[in-house]
Amino acid sequence: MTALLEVEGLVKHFETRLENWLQRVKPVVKAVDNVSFAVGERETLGLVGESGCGKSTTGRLILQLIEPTAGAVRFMGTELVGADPRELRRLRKNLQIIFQDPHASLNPRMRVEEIILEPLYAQGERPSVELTNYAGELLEKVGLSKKHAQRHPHEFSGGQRQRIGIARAIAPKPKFIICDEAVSALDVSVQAQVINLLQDLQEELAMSYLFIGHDLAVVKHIADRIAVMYLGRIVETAPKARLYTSPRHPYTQALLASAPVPHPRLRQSRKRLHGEMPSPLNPPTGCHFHPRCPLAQDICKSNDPVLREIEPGQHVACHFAELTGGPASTPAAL
Amino acid sequence: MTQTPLLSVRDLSVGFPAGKGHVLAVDSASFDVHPGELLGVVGESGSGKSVTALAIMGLLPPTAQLRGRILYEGDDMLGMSHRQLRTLRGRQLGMIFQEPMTSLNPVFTVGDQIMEAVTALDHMSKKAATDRAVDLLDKVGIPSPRRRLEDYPHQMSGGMRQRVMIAIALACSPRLLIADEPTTALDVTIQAQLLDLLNGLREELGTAIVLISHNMGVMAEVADRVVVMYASRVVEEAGIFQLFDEPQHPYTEGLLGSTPDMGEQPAGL
Repeated sequence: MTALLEVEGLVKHFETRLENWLQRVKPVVKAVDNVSFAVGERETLGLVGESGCGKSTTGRLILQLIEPTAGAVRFMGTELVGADPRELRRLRKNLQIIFQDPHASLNPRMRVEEIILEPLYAQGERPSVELTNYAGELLEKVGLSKKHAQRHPHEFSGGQRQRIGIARAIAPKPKFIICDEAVSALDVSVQAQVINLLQDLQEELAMSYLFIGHDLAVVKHIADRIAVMYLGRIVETAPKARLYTSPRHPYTQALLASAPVPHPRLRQSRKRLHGEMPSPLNPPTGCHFHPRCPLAQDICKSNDPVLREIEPGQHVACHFAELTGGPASTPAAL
Repeated sequence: MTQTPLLSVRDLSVGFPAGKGHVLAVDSASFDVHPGELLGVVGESGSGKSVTALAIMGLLPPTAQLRGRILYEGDDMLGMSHRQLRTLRGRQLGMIFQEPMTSLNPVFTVGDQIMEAVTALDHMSKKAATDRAVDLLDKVGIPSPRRRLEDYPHQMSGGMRQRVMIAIALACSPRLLIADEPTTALDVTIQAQLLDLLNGLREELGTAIVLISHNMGVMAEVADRVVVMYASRVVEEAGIFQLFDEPQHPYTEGLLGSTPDMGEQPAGL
């Protein structure tokens, strides 16, 4: 499989303010800490994790909306980190994003038509009758109507606005879309509609997605492969079927066990994860998960586990990944 | 179900003036809450579930027009004087809101805010109030509670703040706790911890809980019975197993179908 997008050793440190004048160095938040993955053509990679784990930052780093501290991002064979702004603009025709908040990501002063054609204007196209017709087509493609083109964002519901956001993202016919919590703000019934729309469009336009989300059930429906992040690092990647049936990283297992059950008959007292995610300002040494991990040993406090292949296609960053398999640790609800 | 209900809502309608007419936010809703049970109220944004909760607590703005009855152990709360209502709320009812960020006061310590609730109706010494606050924080699973009393809300995580909210709601040992989307703003691992906590408190203290949520998974996890609301109305009320096995209303069926579980493809609505 040829990779459309390759991310290698991506690092982002945010400097924060000095807490007092005695500190010599500014404290650094390691938001993304050596993240690598690849996404193939027509593939959907799900990137899941809890708030503050660095998943959205990773999405923004790929688009070069923020500048990486280190690492490489190759898209269609071209290096994006440090690329010439004009080159970057040209490449962004094929690299679009859908944001989480449909209320904040559409300019309230612009008409829907201007909003969805803006990526094309950014590529140097000029307003024309053809483009107006194209905007109408796009609106119909995402389940809205041509008539909506002259309205403003405030006239639409959350689900409809998210459809406008999708129309804008697909306008330049991209090869790759980053969906950053694209359905998290929507009601469940609307969520299901938007997920189905994204899947249909992917089929029709042969696109790849990086689907960033915190809801494992939602990500399961759309992703082919899933990467789980914890405190700036990827702890496990696996094909969807494997990740949900035999997760091997203790954090992935705990995350799956925390998801609400689909039916009351599956209620059970499950192992809950204790405590909360530590601050990325001061991450634990060694494996970031060790203070909450049921399997932690001394080695976990001192040595960073490497992401290594345990089963074909399944990579796990755990010193004890060989011991974590087996039916006992598989959540029965799945 | 021969038990007398703790709370009965009968034909409750709530309207708000809007432009020339008015909007009916809740339309003839009726349901009962029995002692010690966990009743789920599920519905999408705008279905009237939060307005119902606020009506029960008597927290609606004065512009709201109410009809129907809300009976607490047989007494109509809508006919009560301000003072009666205050005593009832203080002794019997507790409420937890969705957004722990905005429902705690940022300029007071967590300890101040719990002690305010503890001493609102009972006179007690500072020391007794502090001890009670420490007890409450301990009960909701906050480690080293005595030290955390000195914290301001911004020093705590979202999950911790929600635990503090629960502690405040429990201050007067209520018999009925209304929790309006208490876990919606939180991550799944923290949500799971809090649902366990609510369930544990119910078992330990016998508190009845009305849990409002848009998430069917949350219902599946903890509810005994569920009231489904859609477009201001109660469209279905059923035991949790019956609801999942044989939903009667097409909307309930649609809601169950569009909840992405980890099993099959979403059907869509």
